[in-house]
Amino acid sequence: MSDPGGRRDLNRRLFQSWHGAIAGAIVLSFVGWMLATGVPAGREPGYDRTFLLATGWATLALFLVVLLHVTRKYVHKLGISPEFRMRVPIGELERAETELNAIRRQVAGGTLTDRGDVLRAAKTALRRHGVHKILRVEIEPGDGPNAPAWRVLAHPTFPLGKMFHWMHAHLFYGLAAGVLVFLHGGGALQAGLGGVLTVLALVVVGSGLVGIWFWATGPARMTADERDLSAEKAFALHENLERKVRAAYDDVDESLRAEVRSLEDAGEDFAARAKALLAKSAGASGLTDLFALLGQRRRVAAELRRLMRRRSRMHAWRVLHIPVAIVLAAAVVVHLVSVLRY
Amino acid sequence: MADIPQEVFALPLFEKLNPKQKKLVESEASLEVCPADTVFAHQSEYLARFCVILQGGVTMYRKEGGETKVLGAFGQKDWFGELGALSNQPEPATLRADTRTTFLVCEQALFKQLYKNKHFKGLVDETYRRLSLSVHLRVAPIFKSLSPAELRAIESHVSMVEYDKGRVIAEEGGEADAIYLVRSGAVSCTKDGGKSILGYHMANSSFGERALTGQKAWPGTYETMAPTAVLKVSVSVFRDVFAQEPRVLDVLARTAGFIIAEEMGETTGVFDIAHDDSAFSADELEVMVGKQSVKGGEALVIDMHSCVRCNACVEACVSVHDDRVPRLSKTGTRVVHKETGHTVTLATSCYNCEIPECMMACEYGAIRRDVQGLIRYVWDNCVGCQMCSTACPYGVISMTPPPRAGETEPSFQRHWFLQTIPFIGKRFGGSHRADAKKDEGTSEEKAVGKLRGVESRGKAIKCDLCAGLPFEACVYNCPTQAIVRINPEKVLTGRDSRGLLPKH
Repeated sequence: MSDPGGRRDLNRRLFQSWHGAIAGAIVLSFVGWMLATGVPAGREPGYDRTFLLATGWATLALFLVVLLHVTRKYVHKLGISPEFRMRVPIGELERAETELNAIRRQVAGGTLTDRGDVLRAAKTALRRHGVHKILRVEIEPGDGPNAPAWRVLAHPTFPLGKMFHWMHAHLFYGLAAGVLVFLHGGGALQAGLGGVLTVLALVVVGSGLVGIWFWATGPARMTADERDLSAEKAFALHENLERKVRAAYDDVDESLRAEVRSLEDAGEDFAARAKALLAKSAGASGLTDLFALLGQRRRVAAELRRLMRRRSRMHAWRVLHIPVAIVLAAAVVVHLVSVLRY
Repeated sequence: MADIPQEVFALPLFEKLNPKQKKLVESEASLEVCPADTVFAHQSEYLARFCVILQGGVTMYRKEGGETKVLGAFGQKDWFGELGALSNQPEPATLRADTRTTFLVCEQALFKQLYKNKHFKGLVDETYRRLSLSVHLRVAPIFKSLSPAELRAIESHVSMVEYDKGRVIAEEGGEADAIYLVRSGAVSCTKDGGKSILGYHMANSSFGERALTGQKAWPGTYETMAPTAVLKVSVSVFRDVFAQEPRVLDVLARTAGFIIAEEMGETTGVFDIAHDDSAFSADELEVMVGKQSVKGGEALVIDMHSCVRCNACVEACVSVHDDRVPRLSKTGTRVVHKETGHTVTLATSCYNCEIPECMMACEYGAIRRDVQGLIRYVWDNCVGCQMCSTACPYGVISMTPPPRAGETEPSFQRHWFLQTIPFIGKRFGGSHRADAKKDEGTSEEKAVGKLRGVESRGKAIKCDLCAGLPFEACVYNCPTQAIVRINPEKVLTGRDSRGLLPKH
C-alpha cells in the first residue's frame, strides 16, 4: 500500500505541463541577461533602463495571462462565456452525425479512399449543418486488416482550451512573475508604491505556493481520510436520514415531539438525555426508532463537518491569495499609469 | 395542433380504438402536409414517429454500396415508422413524398399507447410483414449479400415471436438451429450461468449466424431484457429454399463466418467475473461487472489522487443547464487499487448504455437514442413516472421538480457575480437546493404531462454530455485534469492510455 501524502502520491499532474518549460525559459533568460551583463536587479546604482523596462513589461504580460485564466473561469461560471453562444440545436448535430455516418460507409465501401477527400467531405458536412464550431474532424488510419482505411472521428472543439491548461499557465507564469517582480524591483522593501507592490507580490506568490503544496498533497490525504465515507456520500446520507427523521416524528405522540426537538441541539449530553426521556416515556410508540435515527444523523453530521473542515483547509490559502491578488492588480494598474504618465 | 378529422376514425387502423385512445389521438396526434419531393426521413436518421398517409404517397429509397435503390411505396391509408417508434432504431430507408402528401403523425408516446390495442397491433404487425419485413431483413448484415428476389423467397418463412422480459430464447450449449433478428426490445447473451457477459442485441442486430457455418452449439444463453419481439428464420428454411442454389448457401455461410470473426475480434468488451487477474478487489469487480458496466459506452471517472475537491466540475455542470440543477453527482463507486491504494470514483453520470434499460422502461417515449448514440430525454413527454430511474442499474437518473404552471421548462436563474465568490458567495443568494424547493409549486400548479390525464410529478434528468455545446463542462473545467470520460473496462484492467491509473 502506498503512503498517502508521501512522494508517490504527489499530484504530479499539477506540474506536468509545457507551460513550466516556457516559464522556466523566461526566468532563465532574464537571469542569464543579468549574469552576462552584470546589471543589478531593480534601480540599484548602475541599473540598466532596458533591463528594467523589459522585466516590467514581461511581468505585466505574465500577470495578464494569470488574469485571463481567472476571467475565463468566471465567465464560464457566470454563463456568459462566448462558448455558450456556440450551442447548436441537437437536431442539426444529429443530422451532421448522419452525414458523417454516410461518409464512414463510403470509406468502408471503398468509394472514398483519399484522406484529403474524406477530411474535406467531413468538414463540409459539419459546416453545412452549422456544427463546425463545436465539432472538429480528425481522420485516423484504420486499425486491423478488415477495418476501413480511415476512421472519421468528431471531437469537441474546446474553443477556449481546457481549464487545466489555463491552470498550469496560472501556476507557472504566476511563479515566473514572482521572480521577475524581484528582478524588476530589486527586492527592496522600500516605502512607496514599489515596496507595496513587492510585498503584495510576495504574499500572492507565497500563498500560491502554499496552495500548490496543498493541491499537490491534499487529494491523496483526503482520499485516505474518506476511505469509509466520502463527503458527497455523507451529504447524501444526511439528506436521507433527514427525510427519515421527519417521517419518524409523525409516528411519535404529539406531546413528546417538542421535547424531542429540544434534544436535537443538545451537545455531548444527547445520549444521556435521550435515555432519560426514553425511560420516562416507556412504551411511547416510535420514540426508540426516532432516537436511533437522530443518533445516526448526529454521527453522519459530525463526520460530514469533519470532512468539510478538512476540505476547507485545503482551500484556506485562497482567503489570502484572492483578495491580495485583487489589491495587487489594482496596485499594478496604478504603478503602470504613474510610470506612463510621469 | 390541427383538428383531427373524424374520418380518421373510420380507417381500419383506428376504427376499433377505445374512447380513451380515440381521445388521445384527437389531442396528441397532428396533421402534417408535405409538398411533393419533400424528404421527411433520411436513412439512418432517428424518426421515432408513426405516420399514417391520409392523402398522397411516399416512396422508400435505400442507399447500398453507393447505389440508391427503390424499396417500395406507400399509398393512401398505409403507414410507416412503426419500427422506430417501437424500438428507437434508425430509419432503414429514406422516405420521400411523391406528391403533396398529408399525414397523421403519432409521436412515439402516443404510438406506444395505441399499440396496446389488439386490433391496432394486429394490423400494424400484419402490414409490417407485408410492407416492411423485406426492408428490415435487408438491414441485417447476414442478409445483405442476398438479392431482393432471394430475400423474398425466405420472407414467407420468417416467423415473428414475442417474449416477455426474462425469457430464455436459446440455452448455452443447445443446438443453434435458427437466426434471430431483434425487432424490438433487447436480448443479453451470457455464459457460465450468467457469470460472463458475451454481448447484447437490440433492434436490427441478429444472432444465430453460426448455425449457418456448421457450428452447432449456442455460445451462451440468450435471455430477453425487456418485452422483446424477434424475427426467427430456421436454418432448415435456407436449406429447403435454396436447395437448388448452393451458391446462395455458400454466400450465407461465408457472410456468417465473417460476422463471427468480426464478433470474435471485438471481445475487448467481454470479461469474466470469476477470473480475477486484475489487482482490483473482487467486490469492486462484482459491483461494476455485475451491474453490467460492460454495456456502457464511457464512464465519467474521477482520479481521487488528483481531485482537489474544488467542485468546479459540479459548478460547470450547473452553469450549462438552464434549470441550474447539476446532472453530475460525485457519489459513485470507488475503485481502489489493491497494491498502490490509488483510488478512482466512477461518478454517477450517464453511461449511454448500449442497452439502455431506462429507454426500454419508458412508456411515454420520453427517452430516445440519437445518431451519436447518446441517450436523450424528450422533456415534453416526461410525466415523471420514475420508471426510468428505477430501471437504471447505475442510479444516474434523478428527478427535478415539475415546471410551474404556465412554464414548459424550468426558468433560467442566472447567478450574479457575488454568488460565485469562494466561501462567502452563498450568503448572497439562496442555494440551488433552496431554489429548487421554491420552484416546487403547489399541487394545483403542477404541470400536466404531454399525454393528457397524466399528471407530471417532476421531470427526469441525467447527464446529457452537454449536448450542443463544444465541450463536456465538467471535463473541460477541471483544473487538475482529474475527471475524464473513459471506458470503465480500462479502469479495471489498467489499460488506460491517459495514465489515469498507475501501471501495475
